[in-house]
Amino acid sequence: MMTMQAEASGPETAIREDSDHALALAAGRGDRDAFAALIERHYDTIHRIAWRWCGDASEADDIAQDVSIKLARAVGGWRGEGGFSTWLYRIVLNAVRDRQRAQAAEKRRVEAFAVQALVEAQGAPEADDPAQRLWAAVATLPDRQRDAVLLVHGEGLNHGEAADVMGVSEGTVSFHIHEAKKKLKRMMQTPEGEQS
Amino acid sequence: MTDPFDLEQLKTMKAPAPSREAKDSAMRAAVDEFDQQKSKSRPRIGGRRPSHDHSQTVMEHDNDSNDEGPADDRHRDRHHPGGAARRLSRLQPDQ
Repeated sequence: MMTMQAEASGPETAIREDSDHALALAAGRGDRDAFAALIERHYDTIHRIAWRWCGDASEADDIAQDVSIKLARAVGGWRGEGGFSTWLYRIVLNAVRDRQRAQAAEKRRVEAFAVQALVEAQGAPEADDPAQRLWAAVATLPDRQRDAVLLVHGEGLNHGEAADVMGVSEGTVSFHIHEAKKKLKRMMQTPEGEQS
Repeated sequence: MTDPFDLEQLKTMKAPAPSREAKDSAMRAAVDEFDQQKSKSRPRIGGRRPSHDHSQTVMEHDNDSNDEGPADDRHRDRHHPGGAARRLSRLQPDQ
């Protein structure tokens, strides 16, 4: 059963996933309180995932709002297959992608977003902060590679869980991560300003 | 020293907390949307139609007028082509 990285691990998480399942099914049957509880419980997670993918706090606010509204429309059709977390990840990642597609003209901002978000979140970084450089590099990867890396190394999902979220096989996730690592290695070895 | 290529560093990136205002507003919008979806999917109880629903009334009126219309064969044939075929076959000379 998938667990979300920011949540507690172990039996408590399993119970939580079970109760998410029950809440989502109740919301799907029209239970308003169950839906409100579900959103209250997961809003921060939605926001965190959105932020990891887009790198900007106010953008993450907008995405989290979009996702909350999408959940209101979609929860009636959720039948519980695949687990609530998998479903939630998919909705958030799709929302991020929709938004980024809409902003295709501003593609170059992606990297700037990542750096700016780090500055906001962690204060002024050191010029050679390796985590910052790594994250900025991840933000420039092709979509599928970035998804695989962030799901596995950012969110702490295993390859099978990431595969469920991405709707691909486990082998494909491993392949994307392998390719991403090769690319990142090249980027991290190239002095800043020389990346293509 | 931190390995610059250690992907596990990505886990340590602490996301900023969402603003309380944005969260409240998103939750309100989501619950409003939930209510709207619920009212859209709610079935009509007792089959009562709202007074502005004319389409069914017009159709019913149409049916009623058929019942009261002339009962000649031409009129019925329009609505029951099978019956017309049967009558025609009765009129054909035996072959």
